[in-house]
Amino acid sequence: MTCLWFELLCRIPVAGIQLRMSRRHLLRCPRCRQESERDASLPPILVTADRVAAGLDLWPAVKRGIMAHREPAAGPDVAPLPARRSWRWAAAAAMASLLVATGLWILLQGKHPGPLPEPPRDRPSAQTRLCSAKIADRPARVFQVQSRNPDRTIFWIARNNTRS
Amino acid sequence: MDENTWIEKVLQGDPAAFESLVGKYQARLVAFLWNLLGSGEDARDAAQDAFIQAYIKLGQFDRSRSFRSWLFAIAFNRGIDLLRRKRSFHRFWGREASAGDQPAAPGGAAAIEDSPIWGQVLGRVTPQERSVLALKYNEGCEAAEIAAMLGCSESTVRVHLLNARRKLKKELGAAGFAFGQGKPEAGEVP
Repeated sequence: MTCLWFELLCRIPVAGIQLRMSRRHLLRCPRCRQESERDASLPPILVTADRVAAGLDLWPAVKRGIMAHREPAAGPDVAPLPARRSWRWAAAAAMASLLVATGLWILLQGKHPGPLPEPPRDRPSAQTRLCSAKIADRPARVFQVQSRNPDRTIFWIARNNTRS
Repeated sequence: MDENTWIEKVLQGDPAAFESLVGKYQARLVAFLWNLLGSGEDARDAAQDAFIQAYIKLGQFDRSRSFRSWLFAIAFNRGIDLLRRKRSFHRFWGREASAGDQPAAPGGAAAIEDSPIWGQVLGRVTPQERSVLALKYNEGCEAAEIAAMLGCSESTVRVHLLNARRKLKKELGAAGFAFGQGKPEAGEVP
C-alpha cells in the first residue's frame, strides 16, 4: 500500500507537476519505495506475445520497407524545396532588419535635424520710387527699398545718371 | 547464432539476416505496442515501422547495449508518435475513436481487446503507464532497463508503475476482480 501523501499527489490534475512531485516523494518515502519495488502479480489483462504469435509474419512487409529504403524510387531530379520553417525564419529576419533600419534612421534624423531652408537669393528686393530730389543741385530720385528683413525699410537717394 | 552475428551480417550487406531478428522479436514487439496503442492493427503497423527504422539505423546501434532495449525504445517512440497523430486527427475531426473502429485481430488477443475489462481498466491507464506495465510484466524488465527504453529516469518508471497499479486496483476492484493477491489464473478475465 502506498501512503496517504502519495494518494493525495495522485489527485493533482496537471500530469507534469504530479509526476515531478510523486518522483520526489518516492525518493523520500520508504513505504512507497518498497511498494514500487514489490513484485505484485497482475491479472492477465495485458496482451502477451504468445497470444499474438499465431499467424503473425511481419517479415514480408518489413522486407518491402527495407528494399524501398535501399533502392529509392526513381523520380524527376528536382531540387528539394527549402523547409517551411526556414522561410519563416527568413521572413522574421527580414522584418527585424527593416525595423532596426527604420529605428536607426529615425534616431539619426532626430539628432541632426539638418540646415534650415535658406531664402531664395535671386528674389529681387521690392523697391518703389517715391519722389524726385536734388543732391548738390543735381536731380536725384528717392526710392523705398524693402529689406529682406520685414521689420526694416531702406530709403535710398540716388543721383540721376548724367549720361541718360 | 547470436544477435550480434546477425547484426554483423546485416551490416555487411545481407538484409536477409535481419529476418532472424524480426522473427525473434515480432510477437513480443506487437504485444508491447498492442498494450501501448490499444489496437492490433496499429500495433502491427507500428512494429513494421520500428523494424524498418531499426534496420536503417542499425549502424548507430551500440553493440555493448541490449538489442532488445534498443528495438523497444524505437518501437515506443513510434507508438507515441502514432498516438499523438491519432489524437490530433480526432481533435481535428471532433470525434473520438470508438471501439467499433478497431479492426478484428488474429488469434486470442482479439478476445482481450474486445473484453469489457480492457477498455474499462487499461483504457484508464496512460500510454506511458501501460508501456511500463507491459515491459515489467511481459518482458520482465527492471526499472533501470525500462527507463533506458522509455528515455526517462528510473524514479519516473517507479511512479508510473505505482500509478498504474493504483488505478488497476481501483478499476479491477470496481469490476469485482482481486488484484495483487495470489497468482492469477488463465481465463480469469471476465
